[in-house]
Amino acid sequence: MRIRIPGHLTEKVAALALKGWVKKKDFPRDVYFRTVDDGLAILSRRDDPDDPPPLEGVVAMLAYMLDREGELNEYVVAEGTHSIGDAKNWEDICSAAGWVIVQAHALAVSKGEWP
Amino acid sequence: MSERSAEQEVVPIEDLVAEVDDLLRLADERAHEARRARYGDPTDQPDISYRAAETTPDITGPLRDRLLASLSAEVIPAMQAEPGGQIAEWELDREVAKKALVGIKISTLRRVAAEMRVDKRGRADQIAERLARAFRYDAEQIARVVLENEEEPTPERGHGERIFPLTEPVDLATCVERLTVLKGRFVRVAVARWFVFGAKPVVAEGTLRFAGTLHTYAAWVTGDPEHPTLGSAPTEQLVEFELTEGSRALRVLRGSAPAVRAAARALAAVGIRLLGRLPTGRGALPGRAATLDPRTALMLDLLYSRLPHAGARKPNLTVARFRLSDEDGADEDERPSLRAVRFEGQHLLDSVTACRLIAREARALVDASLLVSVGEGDGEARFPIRLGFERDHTVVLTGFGRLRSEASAGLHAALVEQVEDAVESGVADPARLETLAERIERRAAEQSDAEQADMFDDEGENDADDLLAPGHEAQSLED
Repeated sequence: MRIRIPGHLTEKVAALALKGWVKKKDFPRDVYFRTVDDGLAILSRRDDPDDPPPLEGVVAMLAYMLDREGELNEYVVAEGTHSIGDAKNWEDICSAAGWVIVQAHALAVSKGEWP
Repeated sequence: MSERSAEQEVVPIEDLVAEVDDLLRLADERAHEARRARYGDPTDQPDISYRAAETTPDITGPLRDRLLASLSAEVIPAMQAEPGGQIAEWELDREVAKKALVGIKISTLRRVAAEMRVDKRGRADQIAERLARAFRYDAEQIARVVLENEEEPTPERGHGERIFPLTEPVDLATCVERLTVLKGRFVRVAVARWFVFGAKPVVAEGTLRFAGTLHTYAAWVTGDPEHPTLGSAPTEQLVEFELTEGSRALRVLRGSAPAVRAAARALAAVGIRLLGRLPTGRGALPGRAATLDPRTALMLDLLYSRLPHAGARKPNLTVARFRLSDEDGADEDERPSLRAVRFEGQHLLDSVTACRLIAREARALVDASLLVSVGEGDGEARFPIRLGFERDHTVVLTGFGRLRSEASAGLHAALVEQVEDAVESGVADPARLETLAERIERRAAEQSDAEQADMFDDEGENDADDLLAPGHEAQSLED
């Protein structure tokens, strides 16, 4: 399944090099991937194969998790060229990172690297 | 958490809110787990989430809303109504945003979703939900998306006029004189129907505008059986007209066709007499064009020869309605019958099916919706337009497109001028119509649709302008 990051967030993905951040060795990939699995299972209420997965809800969960974990905040501040900004901007940053994680999860599943 | 099921279950909103709290608690636990995975012993590290909370804005509220929206999309939430049984405003705003998007054709919705890099899979309401969220439910942004992607203009979102042909050219002086007398007076036009003439007419640059209200009363028996009586209730329709000195057309700027027909007796008092039909009798057109239904000939002439003169280029016919029978079907009939067919798509005149209806079956093309371009380069704008032939009048609609209404007003005025001239004078360029008719004939003989739309190639931009100027002596189709 090909995951496309929403257009209004792609600039943040690129500007903050979020794909590279998620790929780092110390990124707790397994914990986040398990959360994607659990989120998909909990948020999908209808057993309809034609129903697309509730990725929007999973990303919201991941965004909250990233906000609470605190590492994304540290990374953005340390990176230096961008600010946390207001609530809308920070929500977009967390959501952008959430989409990157969902994308990485889908790729790993397709390659047999997860679970 | 509830078990998965194929049908949507109805769930009280309070239960969904509790589920969202559970999800956020899970996410919080995983956040702690993620920190332990990074740093090992949590006692070695300061409480990062506490520090983060000091330096990052609180986004719990918006994320909670998004989770609730995601869960709500999977079930049917039952929410407490506002006082008076009203729908909660936040729910109403969101659903209105989605409803506006759902009105867009699904293929177009998917294209917009792809352009926004939003998941384009699923039903129209699911795509609309994602798009609405991507726009943060911003009413203006969503309204612009709807306007930009309209393929058929509507009276509510564009300029519209009905054009009724008249028996004689307009004599403005006579009309003004009579309207001055009739100002504020009512004229009975039918049983329990009156037309009330409005305020003083407005005359400017050879054009007269006036308005009135059609009052229609329904009647019924009421009261108790011992003492029955009659009751009535009115409906009112505002109608606004425009006339030009010497023209044989009545422009209806506001009001339905039935209202205009009902007001015909009142209009006669002003010296305006409706012809009652469209003057599209069969005339002496050459070659293939002579085999076309006269309404089709007029419509094709409009699309191929007159649109360019109105400044409209790159036509893409998206909706075409063919009349198969001229019976109006006013009375119910037990016989099966097919009176009209409607096609939707892109570049419909390039389709083999449409060409066969035109060329082989001589069906009447009576309604066409198109997307056209005006201007060039950075100034190019795309508008939806609709041209329709009714029994006794024509319809011209021009959508606002993505720009403000003033930008489409110029196109609309030019289209109205061309349509009026077409109805009054007939086919403007028989030779070009013949060329188009021959192309349609060739396409009708093919087995599959073309890969590229080319029916309107050579849109007439190189033609001599004076062939298409209104009032030019064109070949009439009048008997």
